[in-house]
Amino acid sequence: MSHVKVEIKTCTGCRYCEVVCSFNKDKLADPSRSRIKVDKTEEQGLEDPIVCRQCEDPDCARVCPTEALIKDANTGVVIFDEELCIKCLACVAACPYDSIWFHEKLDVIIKCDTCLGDPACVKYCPTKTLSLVD
Amino acid sequence: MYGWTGKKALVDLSNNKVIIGEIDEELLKKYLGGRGLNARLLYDMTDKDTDPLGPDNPLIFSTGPLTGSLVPTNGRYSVTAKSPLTGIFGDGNSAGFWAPELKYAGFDLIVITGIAEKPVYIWINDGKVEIRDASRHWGKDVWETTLELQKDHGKRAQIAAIGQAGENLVGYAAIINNMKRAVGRCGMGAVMGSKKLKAVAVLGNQPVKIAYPDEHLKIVDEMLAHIYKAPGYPARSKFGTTVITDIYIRNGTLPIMNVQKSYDEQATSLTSDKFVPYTTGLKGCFACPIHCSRFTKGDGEGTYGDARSEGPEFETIIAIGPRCGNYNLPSVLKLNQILNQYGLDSISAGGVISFIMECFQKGLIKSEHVDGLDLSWGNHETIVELVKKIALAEGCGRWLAQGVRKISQEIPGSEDFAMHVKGLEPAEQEPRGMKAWGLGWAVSNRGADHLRAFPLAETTWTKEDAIRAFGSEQVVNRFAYEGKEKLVKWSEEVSAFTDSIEMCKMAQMALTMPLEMTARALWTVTGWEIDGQELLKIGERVVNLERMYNVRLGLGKKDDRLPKRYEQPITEGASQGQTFDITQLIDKYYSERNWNIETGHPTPKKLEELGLGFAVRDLP
Repeated sequence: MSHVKVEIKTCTGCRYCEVVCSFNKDKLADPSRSRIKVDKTEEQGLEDPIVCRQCEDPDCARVCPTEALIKDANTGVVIFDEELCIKCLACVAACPYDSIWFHEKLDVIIKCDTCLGDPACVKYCPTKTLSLVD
Repeated sequence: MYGWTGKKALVDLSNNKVIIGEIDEELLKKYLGGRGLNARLLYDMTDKDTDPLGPDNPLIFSTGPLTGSLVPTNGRYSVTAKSPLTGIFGDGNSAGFWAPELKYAGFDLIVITGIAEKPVYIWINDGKVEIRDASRHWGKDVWETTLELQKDHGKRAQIAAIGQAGENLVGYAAIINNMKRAVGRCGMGAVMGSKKLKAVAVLGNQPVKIAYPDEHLKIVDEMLAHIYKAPGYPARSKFGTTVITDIYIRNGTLPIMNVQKSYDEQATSLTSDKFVPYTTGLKGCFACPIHCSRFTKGDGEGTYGDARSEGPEFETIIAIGPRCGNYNLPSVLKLNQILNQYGLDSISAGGVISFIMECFQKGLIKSEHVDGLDLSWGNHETIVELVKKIALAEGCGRWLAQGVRKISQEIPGSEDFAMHVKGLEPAEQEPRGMKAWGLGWAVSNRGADHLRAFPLAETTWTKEDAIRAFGSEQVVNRFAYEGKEKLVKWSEEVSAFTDSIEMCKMAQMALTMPLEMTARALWTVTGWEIDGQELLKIGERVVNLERMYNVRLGLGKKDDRLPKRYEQPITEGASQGQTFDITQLIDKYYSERNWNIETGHPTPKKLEELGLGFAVRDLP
């Protein structure tokens, strides 16, 4: 299934992916609304980019009471439909990888959709830490 | 407003008050932000009587219009105050992740005045600014403080903090963000400590608005393509600044044993390749594709086996390495870590330690002056001990905390090898073997410093480029004086605008970003049409204003000179026989700037032309 894959060893922690993601979605720069987040452990020099794995059998979709999250049979991407979302946050609690978030200020669920097969984060990653795999 | 947030916070620690306001757009267009904007505020807020460690000296943090956008290497900020080390104009500049987060938290500029009654930190979150108790963090180092504050505010909060060195008002204390990125120079950490301000923590989700998104993405793509294609990219992106050691060994331009030598074969134990086995990963600052930084760890063996930190950078490696006669690599890793933890400027720390080592060598001081320590060259255990004593204000540390100039005044016979310009210890270049850098140090408005001019063209450009830009191929002959005044003036202008938009000079200068590309990037973010010539003009304005700050304090031509040691010829290596004679360049430089060649002061005409008419009254 198509998803953004992370090769953790080469990540420099620059967070270009975050700012590019926010720009691609909303034409502005605000990493807080990025669909990928780099979890940094600075005292050890560790970087851990976190992004949706588009699970085969996604817990987020399974627990969603309104079908706001649905696994697309063609692309394998778990698609989020804001109109159907009732903000129960069951998906956030269910995700085993902590890669779906609720943005309080914007009052919306934040989740990677692989930019519909052409992810901006992958394109701008300086070290090819990120790649799109099928 | 696009690009800039247009917002400032004035924090008065004496009265525990915060005022949030707008920044005049005209001011931003005149000075851009960061270094330039701070210089203007410092000019207006202080005078010759301002005590650098008193309540009236403002500590000014600001970032630039591109910061937080997609423009590569946009994540820098400047901190500015009257320097407690030099008594003149002071600032420091750092990258990492603090600056973009300040923008996302809603501000371009934070001006801090007064002195808090008890230790505090400032918490800036989504447009709100609070002064909070920091009693439990006081006495802790930068790393402990950072981790504690992130425990309270989350890992994505960005922390700029001082360590014990800043609390103890060490003249060259740094402010450190992201645990290892230093606002290093001029003692900004001591100013912060004098205010009883432990940290500034920022976090937010306010977008940086982009005026022309489609055009923005296009110029970002062009800039990235330029960076990836640049001849310097492969080495810089793999080894960072450590490659400079390799070049300086080749050129015979390393400052060894407080500049008694400029070449020593032992330095090959510290070349870029030697750090690779200790490197656990390459590191990049915010939105930076160059990732010149590296995380290093000790090998687990011996006294320094547990070392870990980002870096060390070239300047640190040499300052506490060969400058002090030290070629022990594991000790360099450990020293880099503790300098970051205590919050000390590695350049000045190495400058001070190497200076007293030479005083010891020459019999001008005895080991009883330094708590019985053995000050032999290369004694890394002593260097580690001295760094601790300086930061913790223990024993001789309090004395050494004053910096080379003041220590030298107490040691008769040490003047000629007291390596400083205007009270600031120089970086790790050798001006005799790189003449443009010598001029750059001499005229720099914050004292001896490589980053004010940063005339990289001298050793990296082709003859053809040199002739095209400066009319002489001698500009790229590092031993020649010819044309260096032109190169330094131009480089100072580029540095000043780059520091004001708060981009990284690694991209703008080392990887030669075309000025028009940067100007276009600025247009796409702010919507303000500007070209490369206007950027240079703003750079010139900033340089002149900083100069006027010092003119008002009584500085001039007499202060634009280097330590006497550089008048003697280099005795070994590829720059053997070279000397540095400031009289070959200084009048030409003043002429190039249309300054008064008798005084080294800007002329009223020049000030008016640059929109600095308000400063004319401060000319003597």
